Amino acid sequence: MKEITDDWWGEFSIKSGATGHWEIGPLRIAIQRQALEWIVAYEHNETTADEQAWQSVYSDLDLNREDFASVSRYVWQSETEQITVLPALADRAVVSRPFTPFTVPAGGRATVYVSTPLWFVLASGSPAETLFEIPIQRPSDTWFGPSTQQGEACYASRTHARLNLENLIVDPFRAITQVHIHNEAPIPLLIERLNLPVPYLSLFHTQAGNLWTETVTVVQTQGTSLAKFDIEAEPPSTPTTAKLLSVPRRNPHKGMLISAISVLTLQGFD
Amino acid sequence: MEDLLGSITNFFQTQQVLNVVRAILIIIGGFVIARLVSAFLVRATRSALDHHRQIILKRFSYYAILSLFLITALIQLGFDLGLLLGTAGVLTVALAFAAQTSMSNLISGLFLIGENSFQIGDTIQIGSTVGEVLEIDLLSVKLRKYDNTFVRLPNELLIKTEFWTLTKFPLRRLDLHIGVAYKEDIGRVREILTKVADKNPLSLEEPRPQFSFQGFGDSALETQFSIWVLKENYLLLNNSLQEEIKLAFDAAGIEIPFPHRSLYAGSMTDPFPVRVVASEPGSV
Repeated sequence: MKEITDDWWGEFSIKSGATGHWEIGPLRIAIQRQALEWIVAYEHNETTADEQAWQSVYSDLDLNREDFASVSRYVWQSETEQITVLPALADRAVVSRPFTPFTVPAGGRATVYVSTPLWFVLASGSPAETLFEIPIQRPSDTWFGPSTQQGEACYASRTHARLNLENLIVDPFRAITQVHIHNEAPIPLLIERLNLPVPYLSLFHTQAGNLWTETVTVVQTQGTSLAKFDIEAEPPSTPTTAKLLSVPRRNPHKGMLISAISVLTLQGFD
Repeated sequence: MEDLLGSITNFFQTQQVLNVVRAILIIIGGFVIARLVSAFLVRATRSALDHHRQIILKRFSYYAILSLFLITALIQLGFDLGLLLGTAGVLTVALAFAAQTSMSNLISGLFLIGENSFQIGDTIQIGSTVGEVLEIDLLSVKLRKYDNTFVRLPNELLIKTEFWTLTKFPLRRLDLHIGVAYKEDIGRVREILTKVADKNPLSLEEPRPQFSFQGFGDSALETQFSIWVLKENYLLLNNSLQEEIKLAFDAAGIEIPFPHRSLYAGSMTDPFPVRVVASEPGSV
């Protein structure tokens, strides 16, 4: 018995002894229900995977643990067959680079589109309790801050920030964010890297089938390296309403200041 | 019988016994209050101070309060405090001579704590010893080495010698010294190394990995490839990246040479004659 759903996330029912298989870009994951546990086996294959392809396949095929690089088990006393698969935004801020650096003139505004990696989250029970989560494509670590002593650990986006949405690579395992940049400082603002604190954002599913976060506004003022960070209620206006898929990992607060645009100056003599 | 009971009651009612009882009660009270106050101070400063400073605050407040109660108990017992301090002064001089090393360690300990070069939980390296700091005491610093052995370092040693705090900053740089054969194209080597680092998610995308050509070695072109990594991933990257570099070099046919020795019989002589002798059956 095989059944292919429209989206890779949602509620799935896996009978005892059966296995659900997902293939999302480079991630291959199998979830098996046993009498008292969930068994999760997964593997990343960066080289052969077609990045655009994805499918979630439910099958009675047995789980062959040797086919996967990692296997983990979760003891689950209740007899539920329901499991919830959810996409979630990264657990750290994500840094993107424009295809080529650009400058926002003094007093000017720009809108860029950024795509950030998603996590595969597995939850069960009511209320849903997270059993397991893993990045669909493990992003590279990076550092965002003025020096190697100050700053924060982030992920580097594998895609470029774009001024045109058409140029952005859209995958079923990446979320798109519209970022308005307001340069209120009297000097031009060079954008080489853009830090987006995605743990403060929610994830939406639009009617067009894409995953979006809320639109955010970054206001850079004079005399500070910190920028004002505002989160709007929804993704950019779409003909139909977007459905909320996951809530922020961290609670955003009004008037947040973040280090959004900065250049690391590194000097070394050895 | 009544006489005995009476004399016991009288004995307990004498001023001296009462003073002793009071002194004991003061000391017990001191222990309790010192404990409560130091615990309260730790709780009150939880958000303002780090773990290391909290421990110092706890110890100092505990001993300061306890010594106040001890002095009060001594006064209660009828000791003259002025005389006691005078005797303590003479005793201190005598002790200082006798316990020079301990005093030196004690003072070094105070400086170490003030300097804040490392904290409990940091990894430090002194000479060839690398370990995690378990305790910073007035006389010594206690380490747990990664082979799970315990090392006690006298504070005096740490004040006098150079040591490294490996976990002071959030990032670390991993330096790989890689020699490649003279026939290889350095540009290609740099390209392959950069690609390997880009593929490894633990290697930081920014600061960028740095490649530098170090010079012409005896047997190899010497290069240094430096990769930045979050401090907690240092060992993981060290293991995974070197393996990936070896695989990438093998795939690209880049040779990592071993030391060569050329035998040379002088410029005027012919090369050494070499004759291949086929082994005959039965020969040794």
